[in-house]
Amino acid sequence: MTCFPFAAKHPRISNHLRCRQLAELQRNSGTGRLKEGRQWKSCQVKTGTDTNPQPMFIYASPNASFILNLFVSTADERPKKTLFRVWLLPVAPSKEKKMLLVLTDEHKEHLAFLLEVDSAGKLNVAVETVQHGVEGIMYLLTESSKLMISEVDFQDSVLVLGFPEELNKLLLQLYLDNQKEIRNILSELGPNLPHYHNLEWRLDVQLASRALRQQIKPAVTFKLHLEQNGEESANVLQTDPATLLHLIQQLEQALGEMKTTHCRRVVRNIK
Amino acid sequence: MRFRFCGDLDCPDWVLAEISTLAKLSSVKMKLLCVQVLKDLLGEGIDYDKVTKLTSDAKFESGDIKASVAVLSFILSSAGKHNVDSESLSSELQQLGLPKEHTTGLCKSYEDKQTVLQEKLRESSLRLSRLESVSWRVDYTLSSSELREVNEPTVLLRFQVNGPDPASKEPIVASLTADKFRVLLTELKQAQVMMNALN
Repeated sequence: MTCFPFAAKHPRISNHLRCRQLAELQRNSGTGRLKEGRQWKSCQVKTGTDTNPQPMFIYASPNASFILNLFVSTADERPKKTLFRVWLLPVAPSKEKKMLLVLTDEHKEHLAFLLEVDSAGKLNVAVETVQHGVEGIMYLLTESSKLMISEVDFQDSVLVLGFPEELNKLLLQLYLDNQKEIRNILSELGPNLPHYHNLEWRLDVQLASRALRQQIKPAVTFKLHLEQNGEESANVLQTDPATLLHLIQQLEQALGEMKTTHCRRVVRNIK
Repeated sequence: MRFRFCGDLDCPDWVLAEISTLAKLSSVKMKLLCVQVLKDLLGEGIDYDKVTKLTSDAKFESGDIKASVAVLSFILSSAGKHNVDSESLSSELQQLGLPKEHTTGLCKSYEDKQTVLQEKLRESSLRLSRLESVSWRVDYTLSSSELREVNEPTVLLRFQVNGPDPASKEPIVASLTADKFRVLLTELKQAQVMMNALN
């Protein structure tokens, strides 16, 4: 159960909210799971002197209708000057959904060899079994890191294999230690487009040619260095100043898109 | 805040941050580090062992060493790029918070090597293709399968051109009759007169 930080700081909400929060927590912790499914609720609530037009993210819980009552009751006491919307978002899925790795029988067989290490630390099995075993461990770790499985879910997934408790603990420790690094390596495996490496430019003015003397013709020449999968390529481009200004304007417009409300909302929700 | 050594633009944030890292070095060590970075900018290569020794007193980690080398090469190369004299550079760096002794050390090494640095920067500017060498030969054709008595001089020219990629070196070969060659020579002489007028 999460509550966004803004709510705690808002003077009117904090006390009421905390009491209600505790009540909800006590009610829900008994069952271990939140009862209802996720719901979006959005409504306009009148409030007092707050003139900030941006939506304020207050709470995250499936059924937070008590918050609406909160606002309505307190708002009645003060003059209704501005409106703002209360967005209620669903809880992040990783906290609610149970994510289990499904291990096929083949995987279970391959990982079963882990039990066969004898006391001297030597494996008395064929090369193929070791290879399958290593591949099994690799699959287990990469899939878990890829899906960002929580500790509890990882342990439950591994329970299926029927290993002794300490082996499960070891696997969990291995997973937790290496999760970040595995994710780093996996992030570099995606498809790759040529990306920017370096840009050289020069400004020239053509003063005369064989056909015509006494000219003034400025031109900008670029050499754009790109890199893809370790290979470098260079493109030579030329433009006149008017086109260059247009190019700069378009690129600045593209950068400015990040500051629109739509983009800001998307970025906030991703974080 | 506009700075001349940044080309009349704002100073980048990372430079501001790393100037405080630089201030941790003693001014003597910083002057030696400047000398090393200047050597690198002039293409003579940088001796990383010396750099590590210089920064080991201030207990720089590898990230700090990289940052201090980067900020010094940025300051020195942009000062050379925008043709900033060492006094303005010194006052601007002090405005940014670099202590006085460090600034004087940096500006002294910059001043010593300013012309050489600017020459090097000029050479490494973008150039698409360069003419490396010209070689010529004059032949006299006596006769051919078409005509029994030809008696004509011919010039063979060979231009060795370095293309935009460092790998491509192509020779351009042409043979010209006397008249064509005369026209070429006149036009090139006119272009040379124009270039000299600009110089």
